[in-house]
Amino acid sequence: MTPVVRRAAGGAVALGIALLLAWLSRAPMRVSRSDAGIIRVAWSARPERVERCVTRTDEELRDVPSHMRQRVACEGRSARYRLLVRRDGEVLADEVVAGAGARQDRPIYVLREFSTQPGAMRLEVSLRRLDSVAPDPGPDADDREAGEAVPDRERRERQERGRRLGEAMPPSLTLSAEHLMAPRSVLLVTYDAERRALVARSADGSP
Amino acid sequence: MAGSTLAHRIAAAVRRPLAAADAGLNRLYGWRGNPLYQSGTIAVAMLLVLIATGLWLLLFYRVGAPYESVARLTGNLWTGNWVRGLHRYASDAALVATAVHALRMLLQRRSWGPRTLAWITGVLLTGVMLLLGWTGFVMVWDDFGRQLALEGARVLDALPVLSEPVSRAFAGDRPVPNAFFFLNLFIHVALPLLLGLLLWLHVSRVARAVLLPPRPLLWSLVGVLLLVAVAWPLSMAPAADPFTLPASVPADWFYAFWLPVTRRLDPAVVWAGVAAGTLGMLAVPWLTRPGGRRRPVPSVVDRQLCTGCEQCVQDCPYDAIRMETRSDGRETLVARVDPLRCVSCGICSASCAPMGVGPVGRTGRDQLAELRAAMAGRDDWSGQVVVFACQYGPGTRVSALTAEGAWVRQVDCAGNLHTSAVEYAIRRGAAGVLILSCPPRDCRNREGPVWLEQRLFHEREAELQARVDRRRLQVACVGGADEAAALAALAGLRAAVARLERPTVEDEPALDAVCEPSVPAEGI
Repeated sequence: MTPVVRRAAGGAVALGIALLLAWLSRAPMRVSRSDAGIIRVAWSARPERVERCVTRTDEELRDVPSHMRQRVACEGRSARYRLLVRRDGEVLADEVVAGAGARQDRPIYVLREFSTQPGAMRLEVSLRRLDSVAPDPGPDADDREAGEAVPDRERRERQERGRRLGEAMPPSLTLSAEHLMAPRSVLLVTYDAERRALVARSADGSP
Repeated sequence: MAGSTLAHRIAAAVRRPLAAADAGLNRLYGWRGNPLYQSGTIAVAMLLVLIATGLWLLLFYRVGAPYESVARLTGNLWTGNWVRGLHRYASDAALVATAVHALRMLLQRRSWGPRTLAWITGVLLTGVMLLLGWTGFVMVWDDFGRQLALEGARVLDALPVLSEPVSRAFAGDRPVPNAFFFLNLFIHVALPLLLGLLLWLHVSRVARAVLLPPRPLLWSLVGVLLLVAVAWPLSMAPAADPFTLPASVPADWFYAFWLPVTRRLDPAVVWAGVAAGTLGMLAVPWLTRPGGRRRPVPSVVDRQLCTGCEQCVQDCPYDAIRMETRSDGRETLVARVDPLRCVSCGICSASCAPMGVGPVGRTGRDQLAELRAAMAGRDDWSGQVVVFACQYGPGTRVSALTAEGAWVRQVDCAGNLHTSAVEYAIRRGAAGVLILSCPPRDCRNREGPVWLEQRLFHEREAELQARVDRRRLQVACVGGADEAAALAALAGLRAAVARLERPTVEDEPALDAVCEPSVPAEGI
């Protein structure tokens, strides 16, 4: 092999290997073998709390450090809910969901996916609280009991309890919708915190 | 035993095509430009290219609009597209070079003993590179990046660590938080620092670590990758969309080879596979460690012969020899070998003029004694070419060389061959001496051929004496599978010595007598 031929062959081999490398860096990878779509049920929301609250007296508050002086002390856990997903009457999921974390005191994180064939379908999703929750005493209950001007700190406590209650999911949520599933599309069912309702979304924005 | 035999058969089966590829690329590029011999340095060079191009790309990346910022960059043919292409191809080349490097080390049995640290850090380096690739492709946030993110999140969610599943971030009920892209970018930028630390550890046990390939090869590689990046520009895949399921995505198979497999597996099985694979790779130094008598022994120093010249310290490719003060009253220092760092390459055997250091049975004196015994049974060596060949490279072609009439002696490494052995063969009447070494970058003892050449022709200690006729000596760097080159070198030397006068023959040159110890040798 003459030097010229050797150089030409060497260049061609190097270029060929580089082109192979470039092709392998962008070659198609199949990720979905069928036209099936997905029903994705996904949201995160704070559940209601199942808890027992105690109003502490001034003497009791004096015994704890100042930064821990909380007038109404509550202990408990998040409520559990039953999640039911039906497609054309067929039950896809029927399970109990609870708050995340070791103490189940974190929000409920829902993420379920169900493969489904394209076409028209009727989807029903419901979420119902399983545990009973004590009714909220109301924003002025503590004031009435105390019968005196409420210190600023205790007002903030009540506001915080009220805010948490307002953020929590309602005891019952239901979604029932007709949907025309396109091939390889995703229908998302999620919780809309502003409307406090389950909503369905898809690529074209239609339920 | 059966497992060991199977492992050897597999190794032999892989070694053959690799040796053939070595030989083929040697013919095309010469051994100096053979990229297979430079796999480790190519990986480092590609990492430098990645850092340079990555810093440029970083200037244009926006955490708040990942896909749009990369698309804008890709759309700019002059200052964006080719840089991104080069970044991509350099990352692929780095991974390929790393895989080749690991395979070579494994097949050359350079993965155990004192090389354990290098092997383990190499495995960790590969893992970090894969993680870097993962974060890099996720940064783009196209269909492929989303697939990688989804699969990574699915596997990560199997661990009971995070209360909110990571997969929730990609469900589509809310935009993917900027914090995710910021964290991803942070990891992508921070991991190269870890890479640098691991690389430092990787080469910490070798002397004179070579980190870059020869410049012609380096610039040729960068040039070819740049040419492909310009001639075949990268394009953008569709943006990640949580509401569609693509049938296929353009994927980088080097960094996502695992994706089609893991997608079908339960995350627990994936974790088990990753754990088993990682542990298996980390256990290679112990799995490949030769047992019993086959395990090479470290060098020892004959304290009586050691003159304290420090040549062995300078030559040791693994920084395994130190000088220390003597306890016997002599004023010179004495060499001491650290057995935990010594790989038993035997390079020190040839560095010592008085032949006082080396692995047991392979010192210069041992080589001379063995050669003397082998040549003793024959009186007439005229016309005979003696070949010293590295047993791991050209020494595997003994039968072909013998068939051509050569008298072949296998050595552990060409750098292990003491110049006194060469002188002895010539003074005993051999027509010529041909030394077949591995190409320098393929020497399993790193610097054997380099030191050999300097000892023979450039007066490096222990140099070949001036009285030896260099016309009867030839050194050829030949790959293990390159039989034709070995035979060509033999024919070349034959032709050269045929024109010379008949050599002077000495019955018994006493080359080692000048350095005989005055008292019995004391090994340590």
